[in-house]
Amino acid sequence: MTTYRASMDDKVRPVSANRKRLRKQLPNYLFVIPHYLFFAVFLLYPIFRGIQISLYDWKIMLQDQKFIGLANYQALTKDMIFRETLGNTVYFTVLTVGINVVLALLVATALKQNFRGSHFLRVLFYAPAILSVSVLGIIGIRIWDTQLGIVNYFLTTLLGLPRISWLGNPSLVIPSLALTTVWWTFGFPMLVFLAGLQSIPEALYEAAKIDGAGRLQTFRHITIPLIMPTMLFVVVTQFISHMQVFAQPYIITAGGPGNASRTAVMYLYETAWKFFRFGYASAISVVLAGIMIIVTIFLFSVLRSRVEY
Amino acid sequence: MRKFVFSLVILLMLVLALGACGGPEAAPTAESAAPANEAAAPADTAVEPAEEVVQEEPTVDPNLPTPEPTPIVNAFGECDDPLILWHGLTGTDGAVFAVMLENYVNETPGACLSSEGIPWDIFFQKYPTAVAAGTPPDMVIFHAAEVNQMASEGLMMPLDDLIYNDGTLSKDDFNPVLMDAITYDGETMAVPFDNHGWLLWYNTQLLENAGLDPDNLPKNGDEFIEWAQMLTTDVNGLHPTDEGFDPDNVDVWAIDWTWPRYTIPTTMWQFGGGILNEDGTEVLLDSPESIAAIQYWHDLMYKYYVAPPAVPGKMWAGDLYANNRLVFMWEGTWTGGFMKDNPDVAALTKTAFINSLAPDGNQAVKFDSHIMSVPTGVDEAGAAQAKQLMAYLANNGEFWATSGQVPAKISVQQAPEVQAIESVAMAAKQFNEIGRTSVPHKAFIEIQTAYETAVGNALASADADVAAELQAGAEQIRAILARP
Repeated sequence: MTTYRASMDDKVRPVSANRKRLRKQLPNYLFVIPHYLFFAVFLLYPIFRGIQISLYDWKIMLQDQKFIGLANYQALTKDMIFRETLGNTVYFTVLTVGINVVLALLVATALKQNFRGSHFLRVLFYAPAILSVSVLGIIGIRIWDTQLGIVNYFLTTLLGLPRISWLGNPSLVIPSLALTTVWWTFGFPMLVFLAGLQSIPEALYEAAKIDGAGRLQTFRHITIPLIMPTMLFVVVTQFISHMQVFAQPYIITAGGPGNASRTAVMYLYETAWKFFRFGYASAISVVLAGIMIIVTIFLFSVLRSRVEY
Repeated sequence: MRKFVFSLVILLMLVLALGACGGPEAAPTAESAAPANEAAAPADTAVEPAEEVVQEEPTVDPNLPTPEPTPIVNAFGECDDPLILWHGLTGTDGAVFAVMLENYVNETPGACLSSEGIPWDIFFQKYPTAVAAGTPPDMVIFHAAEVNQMASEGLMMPLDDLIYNDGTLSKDDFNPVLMDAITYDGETMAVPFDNHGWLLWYNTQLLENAGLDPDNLPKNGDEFIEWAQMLTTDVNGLHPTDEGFDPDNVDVWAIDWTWPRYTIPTTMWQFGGGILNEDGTEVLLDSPESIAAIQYWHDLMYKYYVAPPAVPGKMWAGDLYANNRLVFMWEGTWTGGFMKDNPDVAALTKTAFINSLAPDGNQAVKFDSHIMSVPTGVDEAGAAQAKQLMAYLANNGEFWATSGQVPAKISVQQAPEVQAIESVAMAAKQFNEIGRTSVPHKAFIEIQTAYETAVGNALASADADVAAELQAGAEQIRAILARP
């Protein structure tokens, strides 16, 4: 080894160093290889395959698929149902993410205080998140049902108001689904906010208190700026998650009335598995992914600029 | 202070929870919520999701034995190479079907099979992927209306040589309209197992209470509206024609908008319209006749107040009917199973041809069929096993009739034990005389989704523009037809 080294010129030496480093790091690479293998097979390959299929008039049993270039994407620009379902999805996402973030932050702020029962309430507020979406669907139907729903029960019995067709009215159905989803999902952002809030040094609040700052001022000038990294995480993950909404409208309204609660992913699913238009469905998924990537980048750029460490 | 707030929160939560558990004061004895935008459809025929019916309270006689759920996967007999059968008969008729398979195995030496009941939406994911992967089941059961689409995708094997040409079964012994629907490119792709579809179920007691003759039903749409106004009553006993009638609190409805998949084509055909023309090349959804048909239903709901509005979350017609709150029910032949479980309701019920809502009394009804077929890629041994089972099921339809469905073979329909079941005999006669099937098309399910959505929009509210909604739906279907 020594003889070998002594015979090497200066240019070769770094290669030898690299090899040495590689040998040292090899076990680490071996540990991460299974992850990358699964990532490549079950995520990377399907992504590229999906993009490829979107360029074909894909028939499931054909050996030689017909290449049609961007025709699926061109058709998508004229597809009124896609526009409508995308609009429904964005409306649902804005409502759900908006309410989720505000509510979760407020509840987390309240639960940060150490009062008797605060731990119990944390569990209570998080509890719906452990329900499966099928159970949520059944609960959603029971909540919003025109005749027997809990909401209409309180409206009619306690307040003497007329029954409202929450799921039958095209303008109410998405807000109803969004509220059901908020009830189901806001436990997770609440916990994340709680963790974020607990990482803010108490000394800052004490200093603000000494300076005479009120609760609102403290919240605005200390909590909000310092919670921004957490806010960025919550908003981005919530946005990505709710843009893919499928099961709630699928179970509770089946997309109705008409197309009023049909979402983009529902349309994607139907296009592929009911209509067997796999190429077109792939194009929908690519466009949907593109929209989510662009909005995520936008959210990062907007919220990151406000992050204070 | 904190303790007070905490206690208040707990108290409020308790009040809300207990209050909600109490339920509405005037809740009917047995009601359910249909989550989809349509009335709940029977599990055995629904392709679309979310049509589950949630029972509030049992309507079944508590003295009857507790029904057992139909197993999803059921093995019958033992052998090395069982026939693999996939189907969507997971509803009440699934139990009857399981007995038929048991009988088949007992009566056929060497036969054994594995039957997998799969909800329809999952079925149509598994079926093409299994065929494409080269691992198809030996036999599948789905609907005649979907044959054209599945055949055009290359998922089915023609059955002429397998079962018809050698005389095992005769095509002439099946409804010719149905045989046309399952013929693709001149080849017969399936064997019909049954005929199922809409039948009129009506409550004779409510008719008699209103002074109407249960044996002399209205003959056309105008007569029907007169009857409907006499039959519909609010909780105060007022009719829609009376002053002070409360449309938000109706006790008895004359009719209900049931599963659009059958109700839409049936009404449109009665009015002389339809979804597509006979050869599937032109869209009729926005024809004046089709618009008149849907406008008629819109009027029943929002002008005459004799039918509940067709909105998501509306109560399932079967629950209204079971509680004597619905007089005329357009429902499936499979309702026979429900009547068997509810003898009190059955005692007040009669069946008839679907009543015409058209001004001229023109009659038409949509029917479909559970068809049996062999997927592409099944080997000879599997096809031979499937042939044996298909022949058995087609020839032994008498037992299947006990589920309420009409056996597909006309000769079996005439059997005394089938004719003894009133609803089955009536439905068989109706389908043979005035029955029509959906126009076959390779994009059938997409077309169906488009027209169901358009009609759903048209009936969703009192101020909906029926013609505009149907025109929008028709444009979508034209775009589908224009594809190569």
